[in-house]
Amino acid sequence: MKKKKIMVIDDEPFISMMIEDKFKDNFQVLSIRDSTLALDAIKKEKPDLIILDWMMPRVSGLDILKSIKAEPELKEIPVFMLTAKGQEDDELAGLKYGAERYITKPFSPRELLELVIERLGRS
Amino acid sequence: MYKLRFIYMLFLILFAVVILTVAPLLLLLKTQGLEPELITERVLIITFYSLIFAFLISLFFSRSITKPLNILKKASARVRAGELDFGIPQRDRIDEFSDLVKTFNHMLKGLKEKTEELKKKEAYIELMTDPLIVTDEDGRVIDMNPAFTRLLGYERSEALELNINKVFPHLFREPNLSIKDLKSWPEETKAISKNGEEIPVLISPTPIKFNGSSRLVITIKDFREGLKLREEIRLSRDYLESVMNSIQDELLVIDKDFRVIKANHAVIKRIGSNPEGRFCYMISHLLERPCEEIQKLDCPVQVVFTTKRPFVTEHEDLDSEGRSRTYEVIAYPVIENGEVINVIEFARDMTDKKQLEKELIRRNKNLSLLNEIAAILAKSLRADEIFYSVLEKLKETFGMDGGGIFIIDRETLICRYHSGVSEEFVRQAGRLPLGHDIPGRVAQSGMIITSLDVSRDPRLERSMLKHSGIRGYCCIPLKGKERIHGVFCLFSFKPFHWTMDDEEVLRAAGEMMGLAFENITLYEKVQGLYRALKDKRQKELENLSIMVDMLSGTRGLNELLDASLLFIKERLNPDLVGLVKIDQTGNLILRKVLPQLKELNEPYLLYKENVSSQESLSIKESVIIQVKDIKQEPRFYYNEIFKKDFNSCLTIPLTTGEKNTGCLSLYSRTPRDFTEEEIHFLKIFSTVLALSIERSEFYENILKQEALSTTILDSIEDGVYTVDRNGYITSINKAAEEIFYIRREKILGKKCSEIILHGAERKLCGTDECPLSIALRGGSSSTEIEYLNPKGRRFILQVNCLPLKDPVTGEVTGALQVFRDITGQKELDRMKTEIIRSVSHEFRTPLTAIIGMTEMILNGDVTGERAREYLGIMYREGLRLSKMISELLDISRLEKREFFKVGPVEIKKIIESIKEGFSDIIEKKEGFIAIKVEGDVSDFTGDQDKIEQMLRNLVDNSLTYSDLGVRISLIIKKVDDMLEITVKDTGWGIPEEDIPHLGEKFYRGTHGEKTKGTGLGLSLVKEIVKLHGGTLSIESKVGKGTSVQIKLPFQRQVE
Repeated sequence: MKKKKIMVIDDEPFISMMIEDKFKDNFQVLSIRDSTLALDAIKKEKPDLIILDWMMPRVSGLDILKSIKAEPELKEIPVFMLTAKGQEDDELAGLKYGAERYITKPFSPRELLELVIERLGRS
Repeated sequence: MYKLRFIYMLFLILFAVVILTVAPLLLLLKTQGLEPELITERVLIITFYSLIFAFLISLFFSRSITKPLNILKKASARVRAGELDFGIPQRDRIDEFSDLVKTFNHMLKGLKEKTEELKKKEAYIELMTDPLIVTDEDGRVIDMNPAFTRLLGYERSEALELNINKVFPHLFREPNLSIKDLKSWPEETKAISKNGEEIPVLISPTPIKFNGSSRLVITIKDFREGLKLREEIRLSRDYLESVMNSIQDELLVIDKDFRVIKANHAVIKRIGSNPEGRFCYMISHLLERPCEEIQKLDCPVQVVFTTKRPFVTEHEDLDSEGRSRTYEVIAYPVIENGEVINVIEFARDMTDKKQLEKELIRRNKNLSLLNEIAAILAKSLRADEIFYSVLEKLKETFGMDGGGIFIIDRETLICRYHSGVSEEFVRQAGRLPLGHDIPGRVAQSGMIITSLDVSRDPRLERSMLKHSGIRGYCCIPLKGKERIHGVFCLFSFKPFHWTMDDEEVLRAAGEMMGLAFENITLYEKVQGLYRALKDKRQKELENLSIMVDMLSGTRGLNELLDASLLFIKERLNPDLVGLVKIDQTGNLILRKVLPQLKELNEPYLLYKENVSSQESLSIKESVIIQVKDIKQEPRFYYNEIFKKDFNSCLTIPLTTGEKNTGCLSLYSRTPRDFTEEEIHFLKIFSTVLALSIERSEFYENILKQEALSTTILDSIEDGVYTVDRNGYITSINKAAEEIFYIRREKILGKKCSEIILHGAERKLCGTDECPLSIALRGGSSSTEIEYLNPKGRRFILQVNCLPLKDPVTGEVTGALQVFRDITGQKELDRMKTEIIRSVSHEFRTPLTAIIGMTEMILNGDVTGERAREYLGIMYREGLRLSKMISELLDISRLEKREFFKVGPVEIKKIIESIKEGFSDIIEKKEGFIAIKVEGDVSDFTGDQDKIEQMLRNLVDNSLTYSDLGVRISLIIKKVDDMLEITVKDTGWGIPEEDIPHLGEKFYRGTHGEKTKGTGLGLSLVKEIVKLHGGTLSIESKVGKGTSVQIKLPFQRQVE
């Protein structure tokens, strides 16, 4: 059976690296470092789930989230937001714009994997 | 030489041998009778052999002589070559040669010792760092050491031609001065070097005797360093001195012997001379001996020496201009090894503070005196009783020996009360024509007359007081509303100095008494009427009698009104009786009503100023109006409350002579005709009531106004204003004026809602939540509001509102609003939250690596090389965390001004370091940086590291907040003694609303969402600029770029 596709959008290489390493047994992981390219990549790849960093240079995670939710063919993709803020109001803003989960840094890669498996099922 | 001598000797020996062998042989052969030929032959043979034999012998001998000679020869050659460190081996045989060797070796040893000694001396002289010269009696240099050359540049040969007056011309300014006159102790002078340079030196000439002639040894010490040191000491001393002198307080430093060792300008100015070396008492008093000896036990310095603790005392003294001042004298110990070595004594001029205190005490005192007088006046309506009480009170307060009260009776001034003078004197001076003597003049002119000493006062030359024994004296008019009713006098048998304040209080007392007297006169008139009516109307008489008692007995205004209305209600039995007052704007206010109506709260705005009502006409025209049926009355408008329930109405104006201040209204449910007697009674009653009200109000006003003394209010930092019971502003302090940005005159008499024109609190106006209306209902409140003043400044105010209550009745008479500006405090709170937020945020990203990766390594998700890579990242992120923490610490250190090292700044080096440090990132960003230095910036001083850090942070910011292809220019130039640094970029720019917040710690503007940063960079820059005494300005346009300009002074002020 084909592995499900997870897209990680984070400018911090080590975050993508960790997720790739942790997820590679269960999922196919695509990493995007440059947030300006993120939307095109999502359209092209149509991942099954997106892990999206909030704070990135130029185009922020929230901008991308808004764009995803504005596209009819993308808006069903579940989005997990990563944030370093850990503020309630930010969480609310993220959920308001349609993020499915809200993961506060520092996070446990194991727990993240469990959450993704819980959402997508084991491949 | 040796060889020739040797050959010569050889021949001599040979010759001797031949002679010695051949001659005997010839003799022997002759005697044997041998043939001559044979003899010759034999002789030749023998000679030949003996020659060979002799040669061999001589050869053997000569060898034993030449060998030792050669050894000696070689040894002497080694000595000549400078080698001294050897000896010739001694032989066992004792002969002439071994003696020679011994002597030679001995000599060699001696030679070696001498040479070494010489070498040492030479080396010492060579190595002497301080120059040394030796001169003969005439001052010619005859020897010198190399240090002399090093210092002054003269080579030895040149130096030996010198005379010392050429080297030290400053010492030999007088031509006849010879070296004998030179002092043999160190002296500071200047030496002239070979190339004419003047070098400060310290010389110490020492005369010595050498082989019978005089020599002078001069050691020279280079004093340039010493001078520098001295200059530094002088500078630091100057600095200290200027610090001391810049202090306005007087300052003395006193040593253990109680002598002044230092005094600043402030002291010198007051004393008029420099007290250094002298003894002082309380700073300004010069003494011949220390305080201790002359038993000045309160001398702070002495106290500090014994107690070792700071001591503060107060001291009255004269300032440099001879004015009396109060000084706070503080003595402070300087302790070294547990002993007080010096005492620093300060004197601070506390006069103004003291005066303020005194002023407050005085005002309080005056206020309480007037209060007491008011109480006396309110207590009684009997003139003589009042005169007695008031005068005795004043006498007691001012410590007077006596006084008197004079009342005008037509053209005469008659003494009504007196104390402290003889009856005889009263008989003489008890009746005065108006305008005569002091009381007469005061009564006529209304002026106050005071005298320090009557017996010496030229104005009183012809007064009866002159020879009465009275010295200190004052005479005050009793001023009524329109005219002067008399005077009162106070006197003492000692001279008395009247202050302006005294005069003011006395004037007020005079006015109060004048008004009281008017009331009393009217009261007495009423009493006269009362007597006239006595026979006719017994009941009315009783009423009046009760009324008069009532009115004269009541104290507070409210009590008076309550009692008056109750009195009318009881006597005349109207269904409703009300007291209506007219306020400043002409509105009619129902001040008191009986019975209480539930529809209205007192005071109640009955009719607006221009409403035509029965009451307003009655007041305006001063007439009594009776309307039998108000429902049918076409002339007047009636309030619904009355119209609904009542039928007839009687109004009587309240008259106080010149104007009507209100009226009494009596309403009846049934049509009623008041009898003439009733109206007559009401007429009298209203007159007395009006006067009583006025009297009460007058006293209450005095108390109220004084109580809210503006001085006190203005000294409060919080804004304060008060309103009356209708919400009109009655007073406001300075702080409130500033917050509202409005002048006092424009506010007074207006409603609060007219001032507060902006801001969120506006919606409270007119509602029950309005703090003022809460307070006016008797409650207190505390709220926080945001307020934008007319100047556009935003405040966050903590508003506390309290009701003002009548001290006697407890009735709410107004409200007091206090507002504290808590804008700064709020701002601090906001920044604190922001800091915590930023810190937690910035620390989370590195922590993600550290925690997440550790988990994966522990879990075995990654192993081997990959795990190593993970560790590398964890290490790097750990470092990042650590760097952020140091940056935070750096700022707090800078703020505390630690680690600020000033020195020459090498701009070139900084630029190179920046170019190198950023080249990678610039390349990555496809950017470009242009660096330019204009003008000579080499002599700029500051903290090199900090300047570099500052520029780094700025360039880093330009690179962080920009897209690919950013262009940055860094220009450093000198403009009028300022180092101007401009960093300009083509980055994203900063939104206008962020600019004022730049440089706040952790402030991450709009772009903070998109980038990483600590929010500390620019605050570090700001701190560094501040440390260098410079300025920072930022111009930016979104989408265009940012330009940061820093100006740092070349010459920094001493901080």
